Amino acid sequence: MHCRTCQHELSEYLDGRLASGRRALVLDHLASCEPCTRFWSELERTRNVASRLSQHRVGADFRTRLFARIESGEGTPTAVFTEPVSIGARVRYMFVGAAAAAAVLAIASLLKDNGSERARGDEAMFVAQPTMPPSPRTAVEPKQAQFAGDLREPAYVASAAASPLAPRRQDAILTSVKPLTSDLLAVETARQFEQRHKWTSHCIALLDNGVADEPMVRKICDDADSLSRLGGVLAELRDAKRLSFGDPQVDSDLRVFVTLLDRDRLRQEGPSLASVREFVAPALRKSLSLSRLTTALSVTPSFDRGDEQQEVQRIARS
Amino acid sequence: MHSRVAQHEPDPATLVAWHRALAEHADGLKSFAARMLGDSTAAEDVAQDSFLALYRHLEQVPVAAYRPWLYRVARNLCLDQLRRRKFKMSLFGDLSRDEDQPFVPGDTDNQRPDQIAETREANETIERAIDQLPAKFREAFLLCEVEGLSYEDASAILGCPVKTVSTRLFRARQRFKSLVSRLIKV
Repeated sequence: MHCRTCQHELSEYLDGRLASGRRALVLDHLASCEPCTRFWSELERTRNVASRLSQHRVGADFRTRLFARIESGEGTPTAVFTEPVSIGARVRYMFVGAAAAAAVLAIASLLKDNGSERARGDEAMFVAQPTMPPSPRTAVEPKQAQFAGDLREPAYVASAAASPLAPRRQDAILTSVKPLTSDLLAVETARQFEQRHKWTSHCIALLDNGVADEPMVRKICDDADSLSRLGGVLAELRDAKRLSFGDPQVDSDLRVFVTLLDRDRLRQEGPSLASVREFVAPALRKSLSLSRLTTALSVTPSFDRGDEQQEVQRIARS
Repeated sequence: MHSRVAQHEPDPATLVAWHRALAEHADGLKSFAARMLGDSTAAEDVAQDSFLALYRHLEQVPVAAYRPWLYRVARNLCLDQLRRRKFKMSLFGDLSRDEDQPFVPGDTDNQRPDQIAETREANETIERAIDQLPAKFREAFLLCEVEGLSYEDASAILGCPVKTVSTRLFRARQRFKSLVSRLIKV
């Protein structure tokens, strides 16, 4: 094995990236090559040196300023999606693009001539090769723009007001951005749950009146999925005594709802009218009091403590 | 330049994941940006812009991809700043560079003054060595060696094949090794 290859592979070995077959070869070489052995020990010491680098810490007001910017509705900086392209590369792309365009024009012109000759039908067919084949570098151009194209302004901006029946977006959890505590999680989850519950009940009433189309069915199933998840979070918070309901009917309806709306089966069945009738509609009809869930809600005040953060995160992710 | 956007509604689990990413990666992002830009204040702004961008695109970014996404955004912002700075530097010189680099002493409670001075000198040598790496090697080195990202994540961030990441990292390590040779002598 050549020393240069060995040293390159030692760098991968340091990161645990070398396949076992190559590893044996590299280690064999290492046993018999003094410069590579020295390189390896230097590489390990270099890593130790790099690990001494101190981490920069964000300022104490980092979060406060960030939340203020979010609450003010500030958008994404435009440079986020600007994939840097050097001037040399731009010039190269320009020439490659011009060459590709010339090649396309040449082919089109030849095909046109060929078509008219074929129409005359009195001469042998002649198919010319393009004078300048398109360069494989032309494939680079779209690649440069790929990341920028993937992540323009979010789709929700356009779709938020798509349906007049959709839940109101002004009540978003974003309007109260602050460190996530259990009381915040409880209040916002309850609010979102109630909105979706009302909206889905309304849609099911439309279905019962014969007003149904495929997008509506799909939307009901999506919202039922969210309802199931949000209901689960509320049930967990109630079991952890982070919230309670003043109205015992709401409490028992939440239990019934979480039990009846089987999220796994709903996902298995997929969005269909049958799923809505079989799983979603019965769960909603037997939990009517949940449409006034927020009025019965009572939360335990909490503070932003490290230990509680972990618990809240576990509940919200459950 | 910033635009105004309509507020949207992430579900609680997504919001928790964003908060967790904020707690886990804010310092790392700032460190990465600081070493790319050589300017701690600008680095904090880059870190903040990255989290703001993630917040505005929560629905489009899978939770598992938060970290590479944030680093890619931070890299774009850094490169944009460096490009703008290039013109200013040609006119005024890079006046802010060294002064803005903060010294973070670490745990020096039990160290003698000569040891503290030695640590400080070593830190400066390491930072200077990273600064002297060519931009492409520096990116790979910071992401994989310093921040501990996988080759695959680094490949997604840098927009190049995994093999290229490996090669850049190897070359970066070679150069870094020679630049800090005084520190790695036994």
